[in-house]
Amino acid sequence: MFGKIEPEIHESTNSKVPASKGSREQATVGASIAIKGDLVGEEDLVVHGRVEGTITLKQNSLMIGKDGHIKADVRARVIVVEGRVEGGLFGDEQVIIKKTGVVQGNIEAPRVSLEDGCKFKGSIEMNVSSKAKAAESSVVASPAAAKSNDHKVEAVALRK
Amino acid sequence: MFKAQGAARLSAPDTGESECRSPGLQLIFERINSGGKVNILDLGSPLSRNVDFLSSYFCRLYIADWLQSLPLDGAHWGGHAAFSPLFSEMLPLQSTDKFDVILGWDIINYLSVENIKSFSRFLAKHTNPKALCFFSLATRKEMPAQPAKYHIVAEDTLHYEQLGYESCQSPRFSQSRLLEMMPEFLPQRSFLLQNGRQEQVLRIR
Repeated sequence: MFGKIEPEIHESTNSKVPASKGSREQATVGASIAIKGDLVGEEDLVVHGRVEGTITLKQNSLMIGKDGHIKADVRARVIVVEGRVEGGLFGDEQVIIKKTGVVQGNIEAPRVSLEDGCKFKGSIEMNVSSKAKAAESSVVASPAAAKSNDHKVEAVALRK
Repeated sequence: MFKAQGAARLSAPDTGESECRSPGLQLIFERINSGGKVNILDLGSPLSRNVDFLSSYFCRLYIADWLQSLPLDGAHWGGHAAFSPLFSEMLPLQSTDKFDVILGWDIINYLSVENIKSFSRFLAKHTNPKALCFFSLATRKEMPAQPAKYHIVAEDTLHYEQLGYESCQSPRFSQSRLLEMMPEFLPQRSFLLQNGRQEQVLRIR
């Protein structure tokens, strides 16, 4: 349906996006830019414009600015939404919906944060196995917190 | 934003914020903790505290945010035929999406009888066996004109965030009246609280 399209990108110093490990490069899709297609990259990306298709930034972070509008499934290490998203959000580490964010779709990530005031319709997969991986270190849960279910033990460990 | 019909600026009994023990919620968490993954439908607004709290559990959380979406101004949704497409718009569901727990909060207080019947039929189609529903019914003559936001503090404690100071007449549904409108459900337990609320936990037949 869509071909692979190289977005018109330019360096930005204003937008804040969680920096990825080992990479400080950041691209920006400007407010007047609309992209239809599959967007793949290996640097952090800030979207102020419109993207329709898919976005894949496996090792990097994606920030959707207040004016950004994404109609796509998104996969990235960290996803921060201040604008509008229609589609699935798959965060390898974290998905954050800011209070200005409007999301319709499903979220899958080890850590999901929704600020009060955001608009969200969809589902959030509380994926325990991914959470365990995200914790990376073996934090021991307190015996009091460790109820009968194993998944609760893992979750308590994550909260520490 | 929702506002009940006939709202007047009166001194509502439950305004502002308060925290209260919730035996109904405790029952719901007994179900959530009973083992296996559970699908939870939260009909309220997306609240950070609830997402954080439920992230500790093995579950998939669906958020419908009905209070923002539905024309809950006393107008009917047009019966069951019109209800399903409307719900599909509000919360995209696949046919395989079935819920084990439904957190309905106080939405029942703000629906007409016809809409509650449609609501019940719709829920019944999207629930797994042994599914439980949690509702908070108003028991006093007046209730806040806007539904509250229910923040989960602990497995047995809720924090109510009431928006606005206007109040309106309460439907004061009794349990028998509720079950009459929701024949697809059976009573599990009910708890009369001192704060003007009655918690109803229903289970699917």
